[in-house]
Amino acid sequence: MIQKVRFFHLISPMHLYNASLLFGMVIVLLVITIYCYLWVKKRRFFSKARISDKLDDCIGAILIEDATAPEVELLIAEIKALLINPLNKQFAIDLLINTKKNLLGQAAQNIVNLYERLDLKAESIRKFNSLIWHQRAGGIYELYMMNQRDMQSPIAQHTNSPNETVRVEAQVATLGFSGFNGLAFLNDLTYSMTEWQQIKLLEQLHLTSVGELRDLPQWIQSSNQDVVLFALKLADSYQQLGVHKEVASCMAKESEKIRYQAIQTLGRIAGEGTRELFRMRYDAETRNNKMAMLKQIAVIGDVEDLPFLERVATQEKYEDLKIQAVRAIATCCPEREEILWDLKSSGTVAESIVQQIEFEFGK
Amino acid sequence: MSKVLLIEDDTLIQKTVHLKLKKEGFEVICCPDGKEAIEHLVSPFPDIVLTDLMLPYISGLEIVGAVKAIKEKDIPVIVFSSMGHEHVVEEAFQLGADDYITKPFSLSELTIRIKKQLKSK
Repeated sequence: MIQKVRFFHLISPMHLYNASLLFGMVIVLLVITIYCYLWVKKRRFFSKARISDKLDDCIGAILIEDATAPEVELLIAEIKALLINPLNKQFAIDLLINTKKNLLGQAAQNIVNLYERLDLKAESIRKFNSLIWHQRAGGIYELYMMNQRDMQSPIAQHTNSPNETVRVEAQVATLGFSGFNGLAFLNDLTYSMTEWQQIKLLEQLHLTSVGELRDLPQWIQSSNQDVVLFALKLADSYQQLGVHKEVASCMAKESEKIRYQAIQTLGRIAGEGTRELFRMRYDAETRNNKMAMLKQIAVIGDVEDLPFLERVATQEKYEDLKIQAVRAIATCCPEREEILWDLKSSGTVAESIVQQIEFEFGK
Repeated sequence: MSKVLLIEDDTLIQKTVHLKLKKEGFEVICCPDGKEAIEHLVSPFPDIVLTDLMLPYISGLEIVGAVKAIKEKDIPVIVFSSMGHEHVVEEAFQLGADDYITKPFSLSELTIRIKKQLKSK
């Protein structure tokens, strides 16, 4: 109580006046800041809406009328006047790219023409030449999306860029421009390729017509582990039977991931020695890769694999591998019921495993 | 003049398709979302409905269902879908959609598909 009295004695009316003045000023400043922020936001909103409207009209006019009609020229001049602001430029580019993404044929070409006539290509090139990585990546994306083929060669020079985002954008763009020939960047790639990047590139390739993979053996033997992995996926996706030997050699690689992908690929391009290779390598493999091998044998195997599969089904220490081996036996062997009965009655394989496989095969 | 109900939330795509169809001689009603589109599913009914599958408020699938629930008129529905949304297209077909077109699409192809649907009904 005594302490409280002392505290209030310290506050003079002057202190209170100063404090309220300070708070008042802070509040006024806050209101001004909020007002300015909202004003700028509103201006940007209306500016974007104006561009969007004008672009709508422009695209419509190009679709309906001749692209060189005076109405179109006038609209383009009006949009150009709005594009002095760099934020507006970016908004217009994004709008055109999003529209082009949804269109094909002449309509898509009209969008590209509009992009060029609005001098937006210069903005994309400016970004492409920037030293800031995200701007450069953005520039590559825009130039590719707007099909600026004259920029193909400068973009290709960034396929081995130290920056991952720039590198990925340049690789995707190169494949988009040149299709399978664009894969030549794999010859010189020294940086890594993430799983996601590999999926993106494969997806990009699926959009182009199938071409030759002449350098595939070289990529499979590359010193870059990620290039090897990607090359194995290419061999798998495009069933490159001619590289069986090179893929088989990957089974001796140190990386488990590469060996796993090699197993998958070998399953797809299986040749005479594939099953024998699997049988030979089985014991030295990891649990995950053993499972992959058994799954592949279930697809490509036949009665010749029965002794091996029976050995796995009886001697393997992991239950899931035993089940997969019995499943492979049931798939490979034409006399499935008999062999499953033999396995069950011999007692070497647990009855529950055989019953599960019988259930799966609808006995 | 056939009446087309176009439901698409991307304004530039909406405008582009609208103008192309107008040029081809169709009367086009544009809606940016499913809610507004439902209000147009009253007499006089449109002759054909074009709808995106991903829409705000009411999805394209619900639109398909609502159109196919109309007893007075068998209105064909063409759905727009993006690549990778094939499972939604399957669902749309189960609900009664008559055709679909994958984005990116060509405006000429879309026009041909609309004419074909109108001819077959």
